[in-house]
Amino acid sequence: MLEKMTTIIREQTGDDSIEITRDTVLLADLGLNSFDLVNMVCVLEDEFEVEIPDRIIGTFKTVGNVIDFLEKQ
Amino acid sequence: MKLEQFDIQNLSQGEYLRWYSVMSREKQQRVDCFRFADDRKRTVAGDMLARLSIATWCGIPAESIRFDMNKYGKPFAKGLPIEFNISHSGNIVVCAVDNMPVGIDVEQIRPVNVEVIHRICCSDELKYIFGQTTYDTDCAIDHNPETLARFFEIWTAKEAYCKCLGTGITDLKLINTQALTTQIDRFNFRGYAVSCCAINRC
Repeated sequence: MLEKMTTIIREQTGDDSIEITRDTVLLADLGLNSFDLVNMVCVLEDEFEVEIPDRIIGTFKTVGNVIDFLEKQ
Repeated sequence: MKLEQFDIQNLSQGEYLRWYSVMSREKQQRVDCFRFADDRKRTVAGDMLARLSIATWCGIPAESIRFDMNKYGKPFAKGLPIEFNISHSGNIVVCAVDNMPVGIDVEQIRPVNVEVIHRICCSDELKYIFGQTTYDTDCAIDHNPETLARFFEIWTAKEAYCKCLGTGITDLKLINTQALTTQIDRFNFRGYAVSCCAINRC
């Protein structure tokens, strides 16, 4: 799961060398804003065939938060 | 309401260090964590712009202002009877100050996946963005500058509305910004879309 997330984040940020861990903070470490997050959520929904409600997006602080949510689906 | 904008390309190293030193230790640590220099500059410039705008509005020294956040992460100035909001994208930082809650958002206009547009926008907004044009959700990226400018008008309007209410991202498709045109000012400049929402108009 972390490997897939790393691929998606690298595509979204355009940074092929960025190291991603469960503790990577989406806003501070990756410099994502709300629109980037919504963009990433669309990719995740396609990739993992899940529906992520908008109200959940704001609760995603770290990569680990996203992985935990996806694993519960 | 007072609106200000700043281009981070105009932030000198001296100004950066000055305004960084004024920030709270917690915010400095957040800045230190950023991987890219532009992210650090955007955050410091945002803090600077908010301080200068509030200082002018309240007639107090910019350095004396202390910030905190509500439970949804919306910042406020401790002990001051004002409301403010900041946003940044690309090289631009914007700030709105008012006596009542405000929300502001700026976004650089750039190509977007059409699927994202459909995920975010309600039918009234899609009509505004695409007009009568037939749009195909399978055609991946929209590069049309006119539709993109209209889409980012809508996106920033939704963000400004959510930020004004202080609730963070909520059901985006249920917010019809086409029905909120008197509450939200929307404009484009230099390749950016900006929207500002004031609660006293909601």
